[in-house]
Amino acid sequence: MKKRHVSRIDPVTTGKGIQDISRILQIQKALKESESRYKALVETSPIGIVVHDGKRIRFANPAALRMIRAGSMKDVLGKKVMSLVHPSSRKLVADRIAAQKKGQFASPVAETFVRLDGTPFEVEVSAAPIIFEASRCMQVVFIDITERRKAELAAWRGNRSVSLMMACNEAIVRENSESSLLAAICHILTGRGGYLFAWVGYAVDDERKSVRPMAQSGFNAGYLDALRLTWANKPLGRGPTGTAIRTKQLSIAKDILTDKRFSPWRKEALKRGYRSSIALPLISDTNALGTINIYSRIPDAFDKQELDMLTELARNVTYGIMGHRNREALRQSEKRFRNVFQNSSIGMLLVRPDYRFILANPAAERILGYSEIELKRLTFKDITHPEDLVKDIPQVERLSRGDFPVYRTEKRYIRKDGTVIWASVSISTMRDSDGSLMYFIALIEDISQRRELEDRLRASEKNLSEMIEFLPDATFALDLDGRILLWNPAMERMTGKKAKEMLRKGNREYAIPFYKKRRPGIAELLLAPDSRYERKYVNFKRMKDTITAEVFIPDLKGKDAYLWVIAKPLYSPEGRKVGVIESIRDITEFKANQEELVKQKEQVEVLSRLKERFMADLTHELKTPLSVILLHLNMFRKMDPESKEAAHSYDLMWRNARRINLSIDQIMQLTKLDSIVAEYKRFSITDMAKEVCSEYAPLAKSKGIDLKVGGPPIRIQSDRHFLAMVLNNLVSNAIKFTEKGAVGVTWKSSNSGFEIQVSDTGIGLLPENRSKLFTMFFKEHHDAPGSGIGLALSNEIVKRMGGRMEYRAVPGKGSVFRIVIPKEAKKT
Amino acid sequence: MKKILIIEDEPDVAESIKLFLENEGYAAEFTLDPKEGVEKLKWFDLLLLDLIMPRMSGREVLKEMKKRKIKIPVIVLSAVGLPMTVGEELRREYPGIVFIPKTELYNQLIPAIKSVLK
Repeated sequence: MKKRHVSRIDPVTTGKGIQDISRILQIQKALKESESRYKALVETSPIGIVVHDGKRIRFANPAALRMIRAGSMKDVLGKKVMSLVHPSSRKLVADRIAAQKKGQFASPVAETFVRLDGTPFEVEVSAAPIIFEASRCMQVVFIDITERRKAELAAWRGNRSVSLMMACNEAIVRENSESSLLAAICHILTGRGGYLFAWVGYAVDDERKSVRPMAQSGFNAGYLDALRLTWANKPLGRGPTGTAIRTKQLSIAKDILTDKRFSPWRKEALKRGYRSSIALPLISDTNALGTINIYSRIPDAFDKQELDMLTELARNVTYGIMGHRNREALRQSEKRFRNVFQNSSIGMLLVRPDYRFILANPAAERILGYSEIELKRLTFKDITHPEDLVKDIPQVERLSRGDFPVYRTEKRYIRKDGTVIWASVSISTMRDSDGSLMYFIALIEDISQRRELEDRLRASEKNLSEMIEFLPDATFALDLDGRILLWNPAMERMTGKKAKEMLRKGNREYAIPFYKKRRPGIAELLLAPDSRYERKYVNFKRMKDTITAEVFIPDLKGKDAYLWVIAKPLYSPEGRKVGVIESIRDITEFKANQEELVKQKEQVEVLSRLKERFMADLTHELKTPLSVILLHLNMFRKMDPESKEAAHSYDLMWRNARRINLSIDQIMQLTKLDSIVAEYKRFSITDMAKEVCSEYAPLAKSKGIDLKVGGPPIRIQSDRHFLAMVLNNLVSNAIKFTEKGAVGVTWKSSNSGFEIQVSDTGIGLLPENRSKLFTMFFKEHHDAPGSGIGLALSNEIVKRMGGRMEYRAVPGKGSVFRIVIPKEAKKT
Repeated sequence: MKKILIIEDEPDVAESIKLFLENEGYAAEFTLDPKEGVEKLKWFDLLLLDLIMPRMSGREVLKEMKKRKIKIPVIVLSAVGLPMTVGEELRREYPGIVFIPKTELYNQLIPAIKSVLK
């Protein structure tokens, strides 16, 4: 057969030519057979065959046309190759085309193609170069593996679940931040999990209730950018993601192609080959943090088993997220605590139940003078002042037993350098869940400076109370409850009550020494005004926060007393009112002096008035006898000097001239009284009295008054001149104020000395005037005769002689003046 | 003959004025007691009255005379320190009354009596 073929082909050629032609024919025949076989194969194969030149489609077999839902070859001829490739596979396809051009073989891979109606479908593709219609082309062979894929998946899922979970759990443990965890989860889902696309979105609590993508992996081609997702109950929030966040339930879109909820995103989703998707809520406590969103190219890709697995996975991821968040919160709080601990000016110490230090901040180091390392070798007993330790230990023991939550104290520490500091300390405890003591936490503050100030203050308070102790004024203090805080020695002297029996006593004990009953005194009235009691005081004055008043106490230690009182509030160093201090001054004597002063002042006024009158009266005293002399001188010229009348006139002139002289003497004596020195001599009282009375005998006789002089013969040692002057005055007055009857002068010795008495039967003095009798210039009546000097002068003279003068009225009978002087005058 | 009464508590003054008036030819009497003097007045033509006396002063005598409507002329005598003042005071109360300081009696009394009794 072989030979025949050659001869038949070869006839046109020489010799051997027939043989060659037959050979060509044989080849052509063979080729034709092959072609038809190939063609039959291509035409009838269930495998899709497409030939393209790298850009455009040149051929597609009926199977391929069926798969891409094309009616005839015309629908695809000249179409771009890539239009049939799903975007998720385009890069892969492009890479493979490039590789094949370099002569590399493209092994079968899974790709996603797109039907003319836009739906994607899974294919397994292999390709090889081919010369087609004289050009270098690419023959692509593919089969629809959607169904196979499903079956494969089901088989694969069992194993995959376990490995996916393990990978995720590993990532949860491994990843050290929330964002890297989310990225890893997405990566695992699209890698090991084989899902087309996965992303995590967080629910943002903003106005729009937006969903913020946090991580993504797999094919998406900007899918998330166009979503405008929300978790509000609005069209854009009713997809799986929004629904899952809102309902906190798993939300599934079984087939994106038909799921109405998916309509806002369908076009974009299908473009990217997504056919089904789920949103797994990430639920912490009751909040949905967000969702894990997974997309598959297969409709209804998630069966029950897978959903359970993914729900579990989402739960684990939530733990992971919360773990990160808690760790972050803890880190932040630790950072803050550390910051406080390191930078606080308050010393902080952590102490074990055995009192050993385990932590100390820089402030504690500074206050105590030890480094933290040194402190860790010590217990609090080692650095506490021994005097305070005695008090501290039982308290700290009670604290550790839980008797109270905090022990606060002010105590002394001994610093490393040996100096002692005062600190304010608060110790609390840290206990574990069953209540047993883990640590003491001690906060210490250096208060040495404050303490020093307080000590100084206390010292000044002590000084103050010492000062009050020695105040000459009786002073006491009450606290706000009316208890006696202070009772100074002057108070003890005034009341006869000792401080130790009064201190701390309330219930108005302080009032008893004064008022004999428990009634409010000035100190209390300062705090609680009460007009019923305030009325009982004299000159009660309330000025700002001070009261002054005067009060008469009829019985203060048995005597009446006039007291001046001042009360003022007591303030603590912080300015708080803590009580009242009252000071009492006995002004009885002062008051008496004051009365005396008023009397004296009145006297001075009277005196000056009287003085004026005195001048007038003095003139009268001088002019009256002068007028007599003048009258007689006038008559005397015409008289016979030897006549009886002349002698009488002469007598009158003589007597009145002497009277003028006496008045002048009195005035001189009065003005010079202080400088006159008594001259003490022994003399006979009888002689002196008779001499004085003889002067008044004519006057007494002319008024018809019986002037009697008489007494035992006594000699006394005194100033004769002064005594004569006094007697003269008394006799003159007696005669002047007596109209009828008698004036008598008598004397006698007595135990106390010597008495001389002048009695009359005259008008006597009005009782109200008796006390003024010896007052200078006193006259009972305006027009009464005399200067008002006589008795005052006499009284003064008698006093200077060491004696006294008395006046006694005998009703209806007259007056008696008595001079009592020592018989033997003292030399003064 | 005109009769003159002297009311004067100072015995020496009273007696001296009486002697002085008698020397001048007047009939004069004195009393040391003003109350007695007031009672006696009706028998006299002129009164010489001292101002300053115990128990009843010259002013009280004048008041009493006014009360009793005794209208004889009065010459007031006094030894007061400021005679001009006292005289003015008196004349304000008793217009036309004559006042003579005691120390001026020796030269003013007679002319005064003459003018009053005219």
